[in-house]
Amino acid sequence: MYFLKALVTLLSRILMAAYFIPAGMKVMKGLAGWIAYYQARSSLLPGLTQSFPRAFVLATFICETGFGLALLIGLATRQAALLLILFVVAWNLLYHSYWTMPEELYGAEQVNFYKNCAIIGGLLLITVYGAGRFSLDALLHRWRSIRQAERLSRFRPAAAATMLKEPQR
Amino acid sequence: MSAIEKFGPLLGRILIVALYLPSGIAKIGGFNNTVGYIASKGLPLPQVAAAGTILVEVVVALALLVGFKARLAALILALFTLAAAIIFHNYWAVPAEQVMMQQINFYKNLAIVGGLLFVATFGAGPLSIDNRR
Repeated sequence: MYFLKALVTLLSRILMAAYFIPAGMKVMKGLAGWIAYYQARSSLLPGLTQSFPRAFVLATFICETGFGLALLIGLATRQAALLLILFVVAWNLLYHSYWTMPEELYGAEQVNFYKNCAIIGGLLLITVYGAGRFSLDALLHRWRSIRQAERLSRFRPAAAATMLKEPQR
Repeated sequence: MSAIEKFGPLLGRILIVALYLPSGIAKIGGFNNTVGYIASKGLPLPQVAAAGTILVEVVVALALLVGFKARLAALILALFTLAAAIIFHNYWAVPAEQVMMQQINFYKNLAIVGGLLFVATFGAGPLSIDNRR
């Protein structure tokens, strides 16, 4: 059962990365088009994003691809998920604030806004629970525990044994 | 238990349900529109499918919100979202001007399924009916 749970967390991380990493890549590929897209849509803070469009696009690429990769391999997962939450919240409020948009964009942007909300919810859960067993985080944790347990085992063998047990969540 | 471990899962569930619940309730009012949309994708029994969709989006989402049998609810919603992605956001088979939007919707659905599977794995968290003691 624990193996199945760990496999499902790996699958979840892969699914999330399948959205963020291609999104980040696409932002970099069609740079001029995306800058025009942002400038046509920015509603809540128009001054900021229209004066530094290139920086914003670059920030999008770094956040989505970088943190997406971190989620995929499970390295610094909690921190990456938290920063990704901040990024998606900012993005959502800036570009999918459907209540400020003209008629023809209203429906599609509303869908995007709420879907992003659900993605934020999922990322929040990753922040709370971590990456699961099949991740680089868990591997590093196991290595560190083994090293600490080796040092401890000379003086307090019982504590060392407890340290080596897997967290059965 | 730190604040994020206590309130994080609840907030996550609220955000996820914020997608499904308003959409499901809106479908109750626009039942015929939903049936038409489902039929336009070539599915059989569109009324049954529409009723099933409303059931899932309202009842199962509410169960997830309060954290009652949250693991099962999350699993059902995940399968529903995956099916919706494959059937309705099939960006490989739509006319050219819709490809971009449907592709975004498809992959966003996948990310939401990922989040739901986390609830299915770890449960509802504290502050839920499942774990009220």
